[in-house]
Amino acid sequence: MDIFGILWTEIIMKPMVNTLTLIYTLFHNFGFSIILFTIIVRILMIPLQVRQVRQMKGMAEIQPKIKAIQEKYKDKKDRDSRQKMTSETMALYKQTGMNPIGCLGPMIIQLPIWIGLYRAIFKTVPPTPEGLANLSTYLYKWNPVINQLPINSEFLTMNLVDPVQSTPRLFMIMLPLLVGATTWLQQKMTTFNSGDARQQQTNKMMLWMLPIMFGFFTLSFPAGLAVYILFSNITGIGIQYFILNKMGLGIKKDNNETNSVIIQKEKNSQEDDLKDDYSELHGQNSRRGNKVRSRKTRTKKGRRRN
Amino acid sequence: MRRMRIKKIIFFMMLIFLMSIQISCMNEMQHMGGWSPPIASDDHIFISASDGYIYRFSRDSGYHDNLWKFPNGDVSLGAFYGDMIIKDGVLYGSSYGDGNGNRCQSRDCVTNIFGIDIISGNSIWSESLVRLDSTIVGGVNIHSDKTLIFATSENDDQDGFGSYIYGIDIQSDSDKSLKDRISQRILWKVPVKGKIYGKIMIHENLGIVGTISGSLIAIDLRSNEDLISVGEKEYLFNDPSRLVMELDWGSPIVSSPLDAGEHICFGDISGAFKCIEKKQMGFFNDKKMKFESNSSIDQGMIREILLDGWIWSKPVFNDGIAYVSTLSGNIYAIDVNSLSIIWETKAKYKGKPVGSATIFNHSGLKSLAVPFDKDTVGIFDVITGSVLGEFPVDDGVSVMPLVVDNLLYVIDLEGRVKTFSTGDRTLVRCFDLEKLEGCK
Repeated sequence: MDIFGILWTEIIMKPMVNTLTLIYTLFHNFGFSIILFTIIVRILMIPLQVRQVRQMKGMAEIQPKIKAIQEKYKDKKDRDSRQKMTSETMALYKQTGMNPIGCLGPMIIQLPIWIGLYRAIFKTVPPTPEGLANLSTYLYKWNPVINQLPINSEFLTMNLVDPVQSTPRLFMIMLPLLVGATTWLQQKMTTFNSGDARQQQTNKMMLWMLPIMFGFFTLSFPAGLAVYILFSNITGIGIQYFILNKMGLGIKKDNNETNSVIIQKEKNSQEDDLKDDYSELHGQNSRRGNKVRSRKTRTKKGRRRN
Repeated sequence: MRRMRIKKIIFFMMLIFLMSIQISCMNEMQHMGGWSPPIASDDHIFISASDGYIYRFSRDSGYHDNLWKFPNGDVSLGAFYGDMIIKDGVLYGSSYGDGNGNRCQSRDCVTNIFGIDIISGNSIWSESLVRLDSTIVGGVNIHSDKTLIFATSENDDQDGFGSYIYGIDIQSDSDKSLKDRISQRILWKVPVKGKIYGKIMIHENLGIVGTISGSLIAIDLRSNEDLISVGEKEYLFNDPSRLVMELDWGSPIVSSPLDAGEHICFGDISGAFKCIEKKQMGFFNDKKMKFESNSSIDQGMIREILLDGWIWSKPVFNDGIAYVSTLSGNIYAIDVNSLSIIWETKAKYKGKPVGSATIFNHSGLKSLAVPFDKDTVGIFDVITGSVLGEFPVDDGVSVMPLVVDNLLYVIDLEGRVKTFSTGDRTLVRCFDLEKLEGCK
């Protein structure tokens, strides 16, 4: 096994499989174990989610300023202007403490945990003899679940190992719909209005595409996985609500009709602010440039003397 | 612009995430098989392949017989797990798939039970296959030359939990009257609480096997004709009273019971290796008693020793010693009479010994060949447990190797039959079952 495989097994999979099975030994209900485990993991990931929301909110807030910079250099295609535009944008990021890919960081950290979670569910209730033999690789020797294997995967009249499309009709219809609906709601809560028409279009597309994709794929997932995604979404929505409303990270919602007017006003005032900021920044840069130039001149003079 | 790009990255990450779940769902839910070991008749070796067919090889020449294949049509048998058995020129066994020749997924499986004339390659039954909506993992056994015994790992009566143990009439149609041909081939079935992954061991008229719910059970295998002849009451078709012994031990039992001389031994996944004296089994048979917990049993009758790791494959018995391998890669030699460890070895090989070990002779010395599912076939000295070498199979082996005529046959996970000389351990032949041609 390569080093990545060993780390994946030892750091992600084993703790997850053992925690999941330990919860099962307490409640003897695998569906409930999945739900409880998902909630625990999502709660542990709150700091990452807060960071992600902060970054996304911050990025949304500085969008008008970025747009203003882009507008400023819209007709200037020369290399010098492009460089200036980039440096001004970077200066803005620095000034506001934002990172354009900052929201990806927490997400990238969360992704292995999501993958580990769903794989832990698979490993714990294996539908095949091979899967049961492989479970021996993941369970700690002291885990009391060994005496309770195989885990009872019945939950609310469905078997969590069966694909959703093979579960009773009620679950076959409801699970994909609920997964889609909660994905939509979660997506809606994490989308910040930036006032950029193109971006809003992308947001709109994402808002609908992701829930449809999740709902569609859910049909062929094992029911246990669908339960995991559903409760991960529900917990995510709860946490998001808490972050946005209780921790004051939310953006005040505007009326749709007045939204564009306010954004336009904001843009105008921000553009004026930006002009002042940039002239100041430019001044600093040119002063810094002068310093560098004078340092260079001094060096040249020194060389000549030598 | 940059933000839109990030959104797109997130979108594609989600798409890749969903697709990776989809792919792993398909892989993890599919019953792959490849656990059925090769079996030898007087003249041939029979091998179940990963493509769902059984192939025949000559013992003399080692060549694949390209005119013999079962089934002979386009619809294959799916995945093979359990042991096959040869009796009176007929090869009996089981497999399971989706019923259309493919491997099945999750619990949606159909079992095929077959009886094949080893000369002609045709089924001895007019219905070709006996089909059941379930899975058989442990393979088949034969009682009194007339009943095929096996256990399924599903039980419709108990919401998918537990198993049925079946008795099937194996007589070919040519030996039967027209009236009998029409009658049911399934003679009886017994509902059992836990799933059964092992092969049923036959001891006199008892079928003994462990269940995943942690019980060792024994069922009365006698037919109604046998019972009538001794003046006993007949059983109904689906009669739980065939279950004459049920010892609840707690830890799941996957491996098949071992016939170890005066004892019957078995291991569970907590690593406990247990032995019962056979004469005590007679006691259970006579009294038809049912024990629901081990507290009511004389502890002297049943002894146990705790090993490190899950006992999964059936142990091997030779000269009073049981050789037990665990999924953590430990190999033990245990004196069955004293239940003490003679030696133990931690194997250096990758993967798990899912398949049983085989004892073979070379130059008058006995060795133990243990297959590892991600590595090779390791060779251990039966006296000391030291590693003597290996039969080089790079791609892993999950079936018990077969040793006949000083040759060792293994099927690797890539579907290649490799034949080694047991003397110098060199590769004698290689045959690719997927391409149906020789390989290196």
